[in-house]
Amino acid sequence: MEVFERKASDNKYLHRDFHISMNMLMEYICEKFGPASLTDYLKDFSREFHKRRKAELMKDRLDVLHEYFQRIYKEEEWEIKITITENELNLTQAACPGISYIREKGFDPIDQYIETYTTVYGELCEGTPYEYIMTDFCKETGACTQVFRRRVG
Amino acid sequence: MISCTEFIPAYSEGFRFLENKGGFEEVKEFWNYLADRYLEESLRKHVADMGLRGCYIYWKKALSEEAADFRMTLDEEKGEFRIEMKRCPSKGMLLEIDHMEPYEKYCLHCPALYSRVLEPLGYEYTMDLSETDEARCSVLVKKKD
Repeated sequence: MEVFERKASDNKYLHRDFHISMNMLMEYICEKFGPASLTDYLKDFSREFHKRRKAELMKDRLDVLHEYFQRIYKEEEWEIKITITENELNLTQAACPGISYIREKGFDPIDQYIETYTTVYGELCEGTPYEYIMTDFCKETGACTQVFRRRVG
Repeated sequence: MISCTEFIPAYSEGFRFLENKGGFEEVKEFWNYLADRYLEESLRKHVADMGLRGCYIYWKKALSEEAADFRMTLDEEKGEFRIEMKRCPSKGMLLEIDHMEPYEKYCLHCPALYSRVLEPLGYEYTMDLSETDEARCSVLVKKKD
């Protein structure tokens, strides 16, 4: 008989296959209910998951997003350039960890994959003093620049 | 981006979204879709090639990457594979996020996905879900008589 035993502290939490499952969940919603439903789902998720960060952003705490992105990219073991000023948080990445892993395993990211950025963070900024801007998104790699910028006026 | 470390709350909300769209039947249909695609080259292939040892190999990797607190036993002579999950990382995470309500049938995705793969290969998958509100469960996979 073989026995294998592990405690949570024995391993780092990093199961990259979840990127594939996420892609399949979004693919299913798109195929079954259409792309507008995917947008609805991602907005629902953003409202629930980022509820506390949004509340901080309402209080002008852009630093909370700065810390958040530093943490999740560190956990993902993924390179990103992050800069913050009084009015702006900039994130530049040469590739997306999700898209890269999905392709590495022989799958195709859905056409709407960009919405895991634009819809999720657009919803996070809704009603706050900040707007979310995505520029130069490469569908092949997920290379992009993202900006959280204080709204003018 | 939805980081792979944030997938579990996204998954839970996804199940809720599907249930609101088409009831629990819709959620189960998605689980079938996922099992047929996601587990095809991993669990199904491992078990088709190696029998119960394929379960051991599949879950050793998956549960280690998920930093689970667990004990697995493989008894090939008895034709049994067991997982004693002392702290499920997924349900544990959902219970820890106190501003989100976990999808109430969240844990049912495990038996739904794994039975669909293992049953046609000649194995029975049973799961004790009585302690999932404390992120604990147990699994028994055995050869069908």
